[in-house]
Amino acid sequence: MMLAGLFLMWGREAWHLTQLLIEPVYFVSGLNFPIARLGVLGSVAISILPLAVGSTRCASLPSRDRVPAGTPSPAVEALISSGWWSSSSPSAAGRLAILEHAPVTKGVSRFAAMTTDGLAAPEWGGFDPARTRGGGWPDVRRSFVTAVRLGWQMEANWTDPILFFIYSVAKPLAATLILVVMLDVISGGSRPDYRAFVVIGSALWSFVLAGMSGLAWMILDDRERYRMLKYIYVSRATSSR
Amino acid sequence: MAFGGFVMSSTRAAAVLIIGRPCYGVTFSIDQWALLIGVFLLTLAALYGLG
Repeated sequence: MMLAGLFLMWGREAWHLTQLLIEPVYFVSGLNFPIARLGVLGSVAISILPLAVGSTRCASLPSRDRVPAGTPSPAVEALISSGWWSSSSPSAAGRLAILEHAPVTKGVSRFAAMTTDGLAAPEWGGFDPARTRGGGWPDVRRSFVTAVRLGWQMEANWTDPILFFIYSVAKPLAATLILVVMLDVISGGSRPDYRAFVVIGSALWSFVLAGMSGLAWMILDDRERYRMLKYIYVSRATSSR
Repeated sequence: MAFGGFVMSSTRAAAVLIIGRPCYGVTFSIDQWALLIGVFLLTLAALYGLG
């Protein structure tokens, strides 16, 4: 949400920032190699983004490749993740508030400038929930379900769900096969214990990409193709104010 | 909408783990399922918060 907020303000320029961060985040996520090999740096990395906790612990790696010394307890890691979440949410909300109130020309906000005569935003340029109908928990639930379904369909490009599922599963499975064969060739078949790590890493790496660039890409996609974000934004169910 | 993409990623990850386990002959040893899922979900929340 933090980078997506920047995307709203800066447009495509923020995309470079996202691209800049993806590889370092991949690195500290510890999904591509046992993070314990980095020593103290590994314990710092695993503290920042504890994705590697699961992959190293589930895979029954040799003792030298398990979680590095100095890694915080799961409770502390949970606190760090909560801190990430709680600090990024207000940050994104703050940028949205800046956008709502940012004067463009002659005191008219960007959102007000997008509306037509008679349907203009209030003088302060924001969203007035009193002008809308509906609301309440059923509307929120319906909007959420519709958004999830829409997101899934956009991801699948409205193709046959079964065909898309087979394709989207076959590709990472084939990629995993490549890594498993590479591992067996390099180790001479003597380290089957690393296979689990490779499989877990291959299964989870897409979360890093989806988390880091998914929201930002959604805004870019909407601005350049679908152009529905402003309507979703002013609908009653998306605003709690 | 981002949650829809998350559902897709979760489905793909689950399928890779379920199919990859017998295909590649791997074993997972998990002692604390609740802790694992909890930390994983919190990490994803942090990751999506950053993105």
